[in-house]
Amino acid sequence: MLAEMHDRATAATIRTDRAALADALVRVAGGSEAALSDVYQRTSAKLFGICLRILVNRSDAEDVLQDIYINIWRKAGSFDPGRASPITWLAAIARNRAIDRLRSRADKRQRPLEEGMDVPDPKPDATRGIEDRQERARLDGCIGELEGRQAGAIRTAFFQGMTYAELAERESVPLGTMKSWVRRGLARLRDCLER
Amino acid sequence: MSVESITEAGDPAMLAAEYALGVLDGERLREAQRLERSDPAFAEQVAEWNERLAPMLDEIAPATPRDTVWPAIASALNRPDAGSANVVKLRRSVTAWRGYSAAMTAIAASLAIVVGIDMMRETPVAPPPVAAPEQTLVATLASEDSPARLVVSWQPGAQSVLVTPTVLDSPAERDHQLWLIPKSGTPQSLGLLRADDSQRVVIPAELLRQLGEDVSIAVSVEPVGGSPTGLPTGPVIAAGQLHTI
Repeated sequence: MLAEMHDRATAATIRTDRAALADALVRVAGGSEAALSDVYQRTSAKLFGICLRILVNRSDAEDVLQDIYINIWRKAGSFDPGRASPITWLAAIARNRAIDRLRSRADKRQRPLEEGMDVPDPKPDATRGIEDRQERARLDGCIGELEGRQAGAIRTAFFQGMTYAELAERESVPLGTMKSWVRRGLARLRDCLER
Repeated sequence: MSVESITEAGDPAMLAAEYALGVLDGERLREAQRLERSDPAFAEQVAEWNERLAPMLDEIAPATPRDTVWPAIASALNRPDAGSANVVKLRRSVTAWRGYSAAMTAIAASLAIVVGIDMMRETPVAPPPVAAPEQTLVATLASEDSPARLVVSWQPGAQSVLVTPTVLDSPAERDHQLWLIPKSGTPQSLGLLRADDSQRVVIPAELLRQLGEDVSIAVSVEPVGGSPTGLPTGPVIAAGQLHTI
């Protein structure tokens, strides 16, 4: 009995996480509140971390987190398990909603540009599969290959939701210069990731 | 595609990248939003860029929202206008809750009704004001031989786990029993489960120390009242291991 329980636990774990989350989203699309609760339990810490990073203010981040799951409830039908990774799909929703809130706020906090070259080491992370860790290391490596100002602009846009105009103002460069940095950075990033 | 060709400002591929990154505003932003809705190829490019950039989000530490957030979401879903839930209204109502001393009562009531958590099993405690560094551990219990599926989550430091059966039948003349299987081996009973709703299961202090990453949790079918032997006697219908999310 004991060996059987261990075997089953292991077998269940192997096909869980990503598949289970995708499965839950499909059930959310079918109107299952229990499935949304499941999705919330699995993902709220990650999505809340994203909201908090972008908004800094805890109360705003919690409000946005609520919006996000209402949004997931409504939009789950557009999730395509064959195409997108469920956590990436959810994280993109979270980031976009948090940035929307940031932009609607009068008092955007003023933080320095993100460091371009000083990318934190990808830490071994028990929560993610090996494949995910490799993707992260790969992206970090490619960002590291960019010029510092390109990487800094891309990271600042990503984490602080800044537009071209805001980035240009922050860096005191002409708008066209900032666009050129970001576009060249994005293009090189894509070429690097596809190598 | 070469660097030159996608740095052209008018290129839809570049527009998708800029839109995914979030640097657009004004007319270009509206154009991208319109294309995302109307042009599947463009939407695909946006999704690809989301995938490319997503690993950056992994460097963000998870954080635990307060326990009041989920009840507010669940409550919004159950309104008559849930299909077109008014998010602004929801936010206002949540803000109002937060401001009043009756908030906990309201939240407890909606929690009990909507989610069905048995509040009597554990006195609600004030959540920490700052994100706890410990990450929530979650186990999905499932099995090849049974449709049963449950989610068990545990916040390190908490004295109970939250058990949510997403698929669980109510067997006639039988009970479901929850087991913790420590790394040391012998299954320890965590008590009987109700099939129809979420519930908090209090973990005895001596077993709390055993909870952690990779620890297995399982559900077996037992005679009414639970296993007479103190060990699982019936079929294991679902099992899984705790992992940080």
